[in-house]
Amino acid sequence: MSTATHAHDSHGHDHAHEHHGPPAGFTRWMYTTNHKDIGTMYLWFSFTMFLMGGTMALLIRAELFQPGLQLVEPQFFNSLTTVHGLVMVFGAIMPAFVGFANWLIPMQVGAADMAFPRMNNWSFWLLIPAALLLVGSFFVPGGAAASGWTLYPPLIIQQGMSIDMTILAVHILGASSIMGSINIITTILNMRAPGLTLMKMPLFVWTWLITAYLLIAVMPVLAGAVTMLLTDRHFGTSFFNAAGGGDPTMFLHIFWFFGHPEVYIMILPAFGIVSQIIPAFARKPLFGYASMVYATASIAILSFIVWGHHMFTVGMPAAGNLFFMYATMLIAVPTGVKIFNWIATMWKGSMTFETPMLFSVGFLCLFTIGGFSGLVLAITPVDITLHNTYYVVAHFHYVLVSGALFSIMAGVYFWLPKWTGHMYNETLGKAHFWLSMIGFNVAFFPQHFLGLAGMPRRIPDYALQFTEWNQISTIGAFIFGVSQLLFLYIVIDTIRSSHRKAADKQWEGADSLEWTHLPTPLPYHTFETQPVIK
Amino acid sequence: MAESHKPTPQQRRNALLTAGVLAALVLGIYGVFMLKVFSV
Repeated sequence: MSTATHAHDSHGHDHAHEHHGPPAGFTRWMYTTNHKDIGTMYLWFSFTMFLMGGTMALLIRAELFQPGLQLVEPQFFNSLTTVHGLVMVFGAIMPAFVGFANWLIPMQVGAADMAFPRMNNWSFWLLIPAALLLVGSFFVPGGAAASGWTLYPPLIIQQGMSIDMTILAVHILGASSIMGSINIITTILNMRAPGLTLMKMPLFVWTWLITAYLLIAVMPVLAGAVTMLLTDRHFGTSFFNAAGGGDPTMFLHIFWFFGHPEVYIMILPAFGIVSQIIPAFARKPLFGYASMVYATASIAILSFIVWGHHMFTVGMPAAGNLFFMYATMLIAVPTGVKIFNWIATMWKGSMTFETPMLFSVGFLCLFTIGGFSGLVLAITPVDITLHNTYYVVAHFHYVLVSGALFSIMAGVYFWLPKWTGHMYNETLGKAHFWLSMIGFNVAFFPQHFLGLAGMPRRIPDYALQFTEWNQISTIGAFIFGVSQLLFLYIVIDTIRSSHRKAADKQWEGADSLEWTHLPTPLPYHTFETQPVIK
Repeated sequence: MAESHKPTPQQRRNALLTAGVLAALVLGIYGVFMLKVFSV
């Protein structure tokens, strides 16, 4: 890993004569081009959306506490599952990682800011109308989209104006992601400090570079798919409308050509965060740095040729099913390399288990379970049995909650002292981890059993024999959901707790530039002179 | 509070070039896709 040759920058000195701080009030946030401000806004936006999506999840779980219809109408239930998925994917997880990218990439590559700060501001502010369209679609006649987050026709073609709002929201979110990706790639490729070669970059920067290329490649495909939906709905085409000679299955192919890389868009930055935290708390360099980079790239490339595993039941030829089965299994190889390297990094390390490390180890254990259930689902004949059951729901929540979300939590605890200048309350942080860990597993592990027993997903009612595991799952979901309010309290408490000062290098094993080269709290503008790396 | 360093003219030029190529890639993927499906 890289080391900086400069001594600490002179930010700690008195520069009152050349004061250039942020403007006060709302205009600071509206017009800001500062990567830290924009990163902060991304993170708060994503947390707000996380709470909204989480509320929808709790409504879903409350309805499923008992068989029969309790709280919501079936149509509204379907809207809840749909918008929950869209909000969590596009509103919570993705913007959270972009928030981390904004905060960390310029500092970790020794740049003053992102390459295009104004475009960075637009990327963020585009999210607000998109979120309003998505969530606001609940309040239009006919209710919000109820087709599932995958927007499958023919349902998506038949519903009311909420679908148009959803399509427009997806377009706007896509534009935001593309602009963000262009900014990230450009910053990493062109703004690095002298001497910081690609193979000296922190893993977080590497994983985001590869993720940004994935976004560039697949977001236009999603945009194309939803444009075709729009013309099917309003301009007389029949791409996906069987009544007009179209083929709904074609939408599945196009959607999942986007959708599977999207899964890696949501997990590769998580790999990057964990790859920085585990070495810091094991007090050892990351084991197999180069192989981590190559494994990340391999996963990204393979993600383009496995989309068919989401649609084994549509009637593809056996050769097609076999190809997608084996290609999917192949992804386990580079993923296994990563798991091995994280464990090898911890091996004989001087480990301590502060909250970021707890969340990272939790990630490692639970994401591996999600990976293994993915391997189970990759087997075509097994998938034909388990398709659209709760086993699938369990699988992708193990990947996206205990994978992506746990890494986000780990990252927030890891960098919060650097961002705010204050140390969080370690006891409360650990309580948050254990409540999340227990709540999550109680909520989602039983869903494997429900799926294996044949309970279908996206239904508000179910057969009596599924009752017990559903009740346990709902209890776990509420424990997990409520424990996130503790997380909110911890973050606000940290921001306000000026008596708990954080050190410049709060974690002794942390070795990227923001820890080794910049003071805590971070100045509004970093790197008066660009550092030189040797 | 001190200002950050500024990117060099060379860095600015390279950044614009990179962004231009990436934007062309995005528009190219979307454009070819749309031309293909709407020309059938």
